[in-house]
Amino acid sequence: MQPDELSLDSLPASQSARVVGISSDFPRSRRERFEDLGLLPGAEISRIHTAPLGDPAAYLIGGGVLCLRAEDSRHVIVKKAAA
Amino acid sequence: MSTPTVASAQEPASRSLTVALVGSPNSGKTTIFNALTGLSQKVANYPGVTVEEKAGWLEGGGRRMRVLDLPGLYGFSEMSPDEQVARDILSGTYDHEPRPQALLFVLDGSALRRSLALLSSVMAQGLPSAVAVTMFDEIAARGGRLDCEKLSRSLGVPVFPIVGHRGTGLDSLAEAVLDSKTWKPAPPKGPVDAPGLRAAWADAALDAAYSGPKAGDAASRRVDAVVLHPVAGPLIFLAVMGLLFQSIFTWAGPLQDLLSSATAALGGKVESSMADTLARDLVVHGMIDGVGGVLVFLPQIMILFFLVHFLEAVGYMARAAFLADRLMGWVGLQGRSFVALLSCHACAIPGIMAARAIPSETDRLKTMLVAPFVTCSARIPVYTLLIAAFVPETKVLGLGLQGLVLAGLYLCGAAAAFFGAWFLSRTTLKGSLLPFYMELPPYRWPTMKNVFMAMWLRAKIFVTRAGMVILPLSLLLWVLLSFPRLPESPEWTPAQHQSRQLKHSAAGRLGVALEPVFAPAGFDWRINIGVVASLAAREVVVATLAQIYGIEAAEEDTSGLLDILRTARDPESGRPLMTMPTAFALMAFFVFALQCISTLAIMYRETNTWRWPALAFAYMSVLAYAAAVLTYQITSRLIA
Repeated sequence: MQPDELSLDSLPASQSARVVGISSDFPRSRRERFEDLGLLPGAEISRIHTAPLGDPAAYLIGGGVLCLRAEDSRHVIVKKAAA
Repeated sequence: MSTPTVASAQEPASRSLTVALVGSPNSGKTTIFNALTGLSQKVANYPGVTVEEKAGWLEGGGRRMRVLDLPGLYGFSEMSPDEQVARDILSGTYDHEPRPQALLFVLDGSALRRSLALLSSVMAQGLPSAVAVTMFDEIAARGGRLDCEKLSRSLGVPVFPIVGHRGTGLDSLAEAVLDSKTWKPAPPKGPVDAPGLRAAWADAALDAAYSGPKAGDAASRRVDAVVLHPVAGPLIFLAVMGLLFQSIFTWAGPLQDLLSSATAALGGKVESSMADTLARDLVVHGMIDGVGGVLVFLPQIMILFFLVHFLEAVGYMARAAFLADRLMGWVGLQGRSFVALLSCHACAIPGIMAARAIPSETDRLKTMLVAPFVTCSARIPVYTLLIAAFVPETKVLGLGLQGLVLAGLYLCGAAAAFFGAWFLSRTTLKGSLLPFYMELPPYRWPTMKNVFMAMWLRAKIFVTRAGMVILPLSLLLWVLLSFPRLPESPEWTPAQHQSRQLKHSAAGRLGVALEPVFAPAGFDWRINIGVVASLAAREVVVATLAQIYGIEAAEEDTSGLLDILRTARDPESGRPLMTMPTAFALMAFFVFALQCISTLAIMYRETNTWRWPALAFAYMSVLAYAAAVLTYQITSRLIA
């Protein structure tokens, strides 16, 4: 991971970012499903809600809202968008 | 809705033409399916998986078209049984369903980009196609504009704009579906294997036809700021779930009482108008009680499904699942399991049927397999009777001991469900190969027709399919409890005869045979008969015990049974028939045991195999037995 990159689960609330990719240690079937859901390089994403116990979180992506658990979203690498 | 039409909707459509409806979950596919097929639709399960098969007929102008509603999909993953079934059907490699002649793709107007990416992989299947754009009004409401003609030109297939809740565009869509013979296969869209290329293609198609903001639904964001607020969110969640919980108890209660008293009245009428023969007994106790025992669940199922589907259609269920997910995730379940398990406090049957809403098949199965642990209302008569008879009315720390025991039993049920789910996640049903993901759809006013149709279909499934299993099984149980016959003796009172007949019956003999097995739990043959009879429904154990102990069955109030339970002694040995350790062991048994034919029947209908109900029955019986033995052994030593 580059210095300005971070995993999706550690993206702060309301911070906008762009998807860099999905880590290669994530099983293929899971990676493909994430890609089907729009988690593709270059896609804009931001965290808009966090469930009461800290997990899962809801992300705004491609005009829709997607909920992911940290155990999966930590495999998604994003890059903070310039403020 | 004529019967032959309904029956044939499920037959292999060798002669008729079939149009498959394809789209992602929440895309408005159900609205279109309901509009096209109305009440002619029939719901079943694809063999071997908990994937629902829905088909119906569209008729008009002397033409007839079979419409097949494929499971909602996000892609074609081999890891998801739902998507596997859909893909196999579209490619013509599915054994139980021939390849459809055409497909109607449902494009979600509120998620155009993602829907188009899915469309490109669906079109690669090469079937003649058309596209219905749903929630067309939401596009304009967000300040966007979609040109259907341009989209049609860039896709190479006809495009129909639809506003489901207003019914706009449905007539011309129906006309087009009837004419689907004229549709052409969509031209190939280049390489579709790479998701990046699919997304790029979707962007290009959209750029040509769509103008307006790319932003999502601002109104839903404002509602979510409250509904998913860290403090307000859980409070709203508790209020909604409380309402749901209350409704299945308090609203369904009077209707259920009405149904059971109607059943009892009918039974009484038959009883008084027929001679006291075996035939009368069969009609009253075998058939009327059997059918009544099935129908009594209907109000709960209908009310629960109305509310669940209403909340789902509004968009709240996904939010509720989001809020509860962490809690359920600890034991290997997910947020959507919460509603199903909550419903199980009324009755496991609507709870198991509600598990249908869980997208992941393993999570769906886990939820169904632990659902019967949750303390359902049928256990209450058993618990209250035994508690009243054997738990002293003292206070512990200012709280009534009887109430504490009841609360403890509830807690045991919930704990068993959670532990069971945790155990299953680690053994038989290891984690899904797909990640957990859930969309929060925009809030919208539901199409009430869909809500009522969903309620109606669930009720129909329950009455027809479950009834077909429950009725023969309750008849079989009646035979076991009534045969072989014991000749009547003039010296016996009717109550004595009833008691002796029970011991003489096949179930009675089974009870006697089971004595060595259940002796470590302190059960004698009488209780064993009660346990066998309670398979019909748990609360039946109360009536059966009353019969065995020789109480007139007509006596409605249980105070007579209470005294008998406390004081009855074995005529030969003079020992008390029921002691406190035995009573506690019996309660412990009912916490875990799956003593309910109806639950097994509905589990069979939902999973389409006897494997899962058999597994559930087996492991729950083992647990129940162990709990009963342990409780008896410990309490009898503590008291001695």
